[in-house]
Amino acid sequence: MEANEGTASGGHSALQLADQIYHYQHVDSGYIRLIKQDVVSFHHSYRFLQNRPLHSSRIEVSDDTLKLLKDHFNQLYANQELLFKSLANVQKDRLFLQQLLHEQSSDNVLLMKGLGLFKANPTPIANQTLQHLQTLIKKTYGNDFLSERVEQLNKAITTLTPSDWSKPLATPVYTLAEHYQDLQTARHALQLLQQDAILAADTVTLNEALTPADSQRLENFQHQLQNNILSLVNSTRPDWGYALLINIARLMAVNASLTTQQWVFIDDFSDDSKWVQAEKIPDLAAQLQTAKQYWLTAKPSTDFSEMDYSRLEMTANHYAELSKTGQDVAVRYAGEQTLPDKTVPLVIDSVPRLSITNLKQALADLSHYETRLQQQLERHNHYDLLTRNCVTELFRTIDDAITNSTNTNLEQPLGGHIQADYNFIPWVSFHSVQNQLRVSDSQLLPSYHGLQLEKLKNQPLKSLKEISTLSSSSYSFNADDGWFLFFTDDMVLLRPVLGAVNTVTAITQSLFGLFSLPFDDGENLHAGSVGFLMSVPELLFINIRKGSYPYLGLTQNSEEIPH
Amino acid sequence: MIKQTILTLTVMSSLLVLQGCSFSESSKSSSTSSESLTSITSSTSSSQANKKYSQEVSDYTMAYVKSSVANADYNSFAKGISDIAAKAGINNWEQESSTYVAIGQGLKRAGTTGVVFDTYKSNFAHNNAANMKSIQQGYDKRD
Repeated sequence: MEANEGTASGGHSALQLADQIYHYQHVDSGYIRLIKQDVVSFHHSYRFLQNRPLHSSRIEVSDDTLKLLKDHFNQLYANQELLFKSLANVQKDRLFLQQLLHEQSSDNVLLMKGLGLFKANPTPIANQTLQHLQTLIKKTYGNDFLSERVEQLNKAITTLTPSDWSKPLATPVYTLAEHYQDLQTARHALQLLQQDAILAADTVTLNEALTPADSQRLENFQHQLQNNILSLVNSTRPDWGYALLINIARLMAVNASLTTQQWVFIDDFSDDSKWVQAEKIPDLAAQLQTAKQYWLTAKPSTDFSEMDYSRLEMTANHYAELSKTGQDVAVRYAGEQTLPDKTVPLVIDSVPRLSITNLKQALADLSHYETRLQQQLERHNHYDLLTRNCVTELFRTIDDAITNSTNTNLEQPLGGHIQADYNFIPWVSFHSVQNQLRVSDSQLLPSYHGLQLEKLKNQPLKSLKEISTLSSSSYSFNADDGWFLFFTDDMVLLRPVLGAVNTVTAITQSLFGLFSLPFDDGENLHAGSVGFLMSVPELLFINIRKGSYPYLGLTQNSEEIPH
Repeated sequence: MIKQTILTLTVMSSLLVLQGCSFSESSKSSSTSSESLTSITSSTSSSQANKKYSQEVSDYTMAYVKSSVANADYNSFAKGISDIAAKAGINNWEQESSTYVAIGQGLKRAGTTGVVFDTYKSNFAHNNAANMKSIQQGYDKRD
């Protein structure tokens, strides 16, 4: 994967095994982490949004080798997820313990998922969905069930004990903080069920009438949701409170759909979705059509499974968001969630009965565990530019899979061997793969801009306009890119000349950034400086910066993704 | 002078080319990444999406069992399943028999046998007969 400004100026490497892509990313904690992505989302993200050409080599292997590598990478991925989850849990538990010891301010240390899906109704009108659920619960479990269950949870909170940090590293631990969060979420969910004047916080209504078949399917899904709610209020699953809240919110949306005879969904955008001015989105009309097509395709022709409904909800949210057109309208271009988080800060109104000594001992045990965990991560997952990066780790993982295999017939299953230590630069390693492994086919898969040029190859004037960012019909400037005037990735001979202009442009942005420093937190100065560093190599025929396309629709160029 | 400039530029360019691999900021908002929508809409059929979910649950179960001490914590295991299910758009994973079949497959791949397998089976199924049956079904399934 060729380089680009910003996320990876040295290029990137990935391995595709059947329909999954595995690659190592440098994460901001300083570690290197295995990422697993499906083919479409990888190409969409790297080739199209980040505008980076991909050089691929296909290596023929036996079914046994493919299975061996897939199993090994999947296993490693699952192990690593447990390890990183442990690290996140430890950090959260530390904050919670410090908060209980009053060593930490109580601002948003812990969040409760799902409660942001609801709001109080300003008018005292009873919510019929909640009233109906109350009746169902009373009928199934008795009149006092909800209040008794809340009482059980209150008691459970006070009797919580610190997490057991004596377990071996990476052994999954259900932490005190997690347990407290889950109990509080469940308590709030039950209290919500006991009220009447509650509404779904934000909903999305599509201007499309339900067909009789849609209504029938929604009624069936409504029963499914009600049954789920009845099971969850009595569930032993630790996070049943959050699951219950999602079911209640969805039930309210389904009931609203059936009442209004129009499609209504809960708003499923993540809390941190950024708002973008609609006019910044290129080909908005075409993207809206695509979004509508996705929504129509997501509508199943039989009864909904939960997975189907989540897909429908996401596509409906995307479609509804892009439909908000007009002057000065801001939309959330991305951020739809399969299950929305919709968090609210956790108010610590009751605490476990733990003495200061208990809490301090728990904090000491946790610190000891955290130190050991950090040491292990430092040994095995610490990122290093030359010795442990996205390329070296791919080759080492392949080596481990083959070396640890019990299958003795797997001698050089890839046709050769790549030494990770000498192949730490992506383009060097690509040549090693070409020369040393059993490569049956090689391809250069163009970036998004490259594809636009290919489409215009018989139209010289339009092709010429694509050289500059100012005249290009496909590129619009976005804040992720520094200022530059010429695309030099396809202009090898003219690269130093055009690069000189790009360098001057970057210097201009840096100078402008000096003046705008008090107003933009140094954004222009930073973008100009990075742009300068990325343009200077162009003087020596080396291209790094290519611009990016953050607002490309989902199906644009999907036919260019090899399957 | 020209030589020096060229040398400096060459060194700088080499350093740039050597700059790290793809960098990911965990704190970065999802403003321009439509990954989850791309991912969920790229599965062309429900059966394909279900297969992917089952694979993830099986991998997770295997990793969990291998990294756990004897008295595995049901709650931490269940939280992990919730995370995987949420990515697939499944909220009520306890109601999906495919979850328990995949757990059974993971237990088999982790190499559990006899009493150890039975203990995991009853703990993960919370002694629910139907779920235990699904776990057994996954365990007995051939690859």
